[in-house]
Amino acid sequence: MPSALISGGPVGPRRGPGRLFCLVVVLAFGIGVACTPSGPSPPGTGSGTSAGRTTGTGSGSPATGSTRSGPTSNGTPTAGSNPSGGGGSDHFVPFRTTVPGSAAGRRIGLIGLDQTDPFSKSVTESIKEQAQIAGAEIVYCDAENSAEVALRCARRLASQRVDAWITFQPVSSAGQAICAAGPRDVPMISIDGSQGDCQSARAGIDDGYAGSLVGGRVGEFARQQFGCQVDTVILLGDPGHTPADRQRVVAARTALSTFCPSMGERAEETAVQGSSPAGAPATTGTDSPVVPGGPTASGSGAAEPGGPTVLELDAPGQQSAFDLVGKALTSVPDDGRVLVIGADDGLTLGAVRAAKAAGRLDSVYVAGIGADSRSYCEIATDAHWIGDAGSFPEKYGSLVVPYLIDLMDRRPVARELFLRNEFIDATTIAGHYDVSGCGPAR
Amino acid sequence: MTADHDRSVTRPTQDDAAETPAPIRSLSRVEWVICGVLLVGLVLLFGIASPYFLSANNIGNLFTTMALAGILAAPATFLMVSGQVDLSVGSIAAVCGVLVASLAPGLGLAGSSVVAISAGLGIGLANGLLVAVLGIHSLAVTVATLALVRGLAYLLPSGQVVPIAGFDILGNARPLLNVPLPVLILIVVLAVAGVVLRFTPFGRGTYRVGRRPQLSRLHTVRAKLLVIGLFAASGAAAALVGMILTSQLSTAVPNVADGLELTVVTAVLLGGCSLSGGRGTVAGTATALLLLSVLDNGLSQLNVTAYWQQFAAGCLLLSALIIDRLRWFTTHRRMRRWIPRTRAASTTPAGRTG
Repeated sequence: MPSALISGGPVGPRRGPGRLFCLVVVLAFGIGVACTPSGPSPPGTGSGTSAGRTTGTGSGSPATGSTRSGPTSNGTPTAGSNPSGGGGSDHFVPFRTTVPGSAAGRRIGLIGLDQTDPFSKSVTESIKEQAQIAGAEIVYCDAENSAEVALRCARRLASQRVDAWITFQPVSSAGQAICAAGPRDVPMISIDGSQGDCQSARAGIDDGYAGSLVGGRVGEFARQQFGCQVDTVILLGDPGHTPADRQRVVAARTALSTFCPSMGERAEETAVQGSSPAGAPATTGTDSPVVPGGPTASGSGAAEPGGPTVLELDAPGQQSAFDLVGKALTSVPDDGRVLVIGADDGLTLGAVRAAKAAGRLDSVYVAGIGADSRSYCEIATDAHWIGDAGSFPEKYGSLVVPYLIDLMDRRPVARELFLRNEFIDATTIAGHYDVSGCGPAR
Repeated sequence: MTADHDRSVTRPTQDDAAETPAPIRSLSRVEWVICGVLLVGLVLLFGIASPYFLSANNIGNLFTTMALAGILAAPATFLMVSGQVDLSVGSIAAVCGVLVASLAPGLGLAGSSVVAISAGLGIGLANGLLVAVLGIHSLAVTVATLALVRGLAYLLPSGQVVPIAGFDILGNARPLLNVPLPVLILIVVLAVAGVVLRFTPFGRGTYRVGRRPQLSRLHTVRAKLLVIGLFAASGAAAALVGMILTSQLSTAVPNVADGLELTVVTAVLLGGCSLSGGRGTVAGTATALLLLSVLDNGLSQLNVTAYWQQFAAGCLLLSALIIDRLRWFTTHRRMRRWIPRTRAASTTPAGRTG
């Protein structure tokens, strides 16, 4: 046996890596060290304060305290169907027509939520379309539903020196970090969640309003059809999308209980997966749930004895919703009625598939929030799909791009750009989307 | 003995091949040249195609992103040299990030950091014990740990993200020459790892263990302890990466570092390590990681979708595996030719030392 192995001495002749390539590696590191840009301290370093990033930035500060964008030179509210209000009603803003060439030569960064998600894809395609009309170049980065990837995207946009940027990423509490890493001193509009103090405005839906809208309609349906005699109510939210989904679920339940009090205070509550988000961050600028004006609940408001079981389930995605609802249905009698409200269409679809797999389609009634392309045919043809609080993702570009151009041109823009949800059901969907190829109603 | 010796001359055994001294190898000269040409070529290509690729900001981003995989790649090189692999590093990073954020309100940042590092060490130790003591293949153990630990990362915060305040320094500070702290940590880790693997008895022992046949690789207590230690180091490095990510995001997210193990294994294999163990260097790993990072960053600058980047990463990993197998064939053939000459030399009266 070779003695070298016993003694632990050198194990044969050594041939190290090429010196030239070691030099290449060292040089590469050296260049990286030397080229690292100087900049202000990142948030919390040393001073313990957040980065001194001004909201609104130099390119256009939003009017502090003002709530509406005034008349602009960047187009008029879209004629015809404009569910997003008639120009400044309540706290909603209208969709606008992008003026061709109004952002010619400008570069807009866009961090999309997740290209595989139909809602997100509609939003990003809409923004790209409007940006193209405006003559702006879109620098796109897909966050892949990950805050970590969104952070890398923000760094990339910073290196590419965009003139403005739009973020649509899933974790609101990482927004400040993304702000710090992203382009500086340029306007930024965030979609849905707040993104830290670098955001000039936040666009999207009022989650509380959307939840109330769908909850109220489902409650009305349940009262009219069944006299509120329902065995189980399932509310589905994605824990990865807190606090938005949480607000939708809470608002939906509150609105549901105004029509059917038994679905409110005295109903059992079981969170099958996950509990209330103790670690979920509070976001800045979050509105409290809004209960729309409408028919008030009849009766004294006291809960009826023997009310339905109310389940609030945390389901990270359609597959998880399928699994959880499937399990929940096993504890419901065969002839029992089930109402399901999903915080987004993916979750609602998961519930529908679970009902189908369990052979319970006839007794399960669903509603959702979003009305993206996944749900068009379902809403149009499925009698058990009560409807959706439409968020019009295909029109987000008409909301975000014109206002972003306003910011780039230093015109005042409201801090929150909420579009008004509209309840879309089988009778109204054809007015919004082409459902002629969906087949007969079932 | 003579008969045994005669049999060994006529039929060299796998044990003989493994015990025979061999040079420390990572990349051959040709491979180094190819790496260098690729690296320079990619830099030039992306530099021309994108006006921002060679900007100071982007180069800083490149190294900041590379730092996470690099910190994991150092212990991964040791593991691969010793004939093992750890696929659970991404999951360990996630769960340790969750731990540091969840426990910070109660234990303070220092206390929760200690707990997180300890957790990473502990999971690594568990991996090592299962491999070294029970003899389960490291691939199987760490695939199981990957799922188990990732599940924990979701379970602990009930699927929620966990924000953390005042933890920005680790991921964002620039204490020296305006270089981000993660990059400085990367430089230190790679330098120390390179020196240890190349010049210390521990490093030489790692090569020895890796060069043994798989069945007899962990027969000695020393070899077992070495492997357990390497897995523990891998777990600790993963914990550090998880804490860096949590610091950068100011939030612990259960799905961070998803797929990071793929990048690490690709870099280690491309850098000259072999799945069968016994070869590789930290320098080779670092060079391969730089190549991968340049490719990833450059494709991003050109707005190539993430799916194509994933496809490219998969192609590179497959290429690395094929190259590794080709290396094994050529090395094995050279060994078979070398052993009979050695045995023949030792059968002469001058060569017989008893």
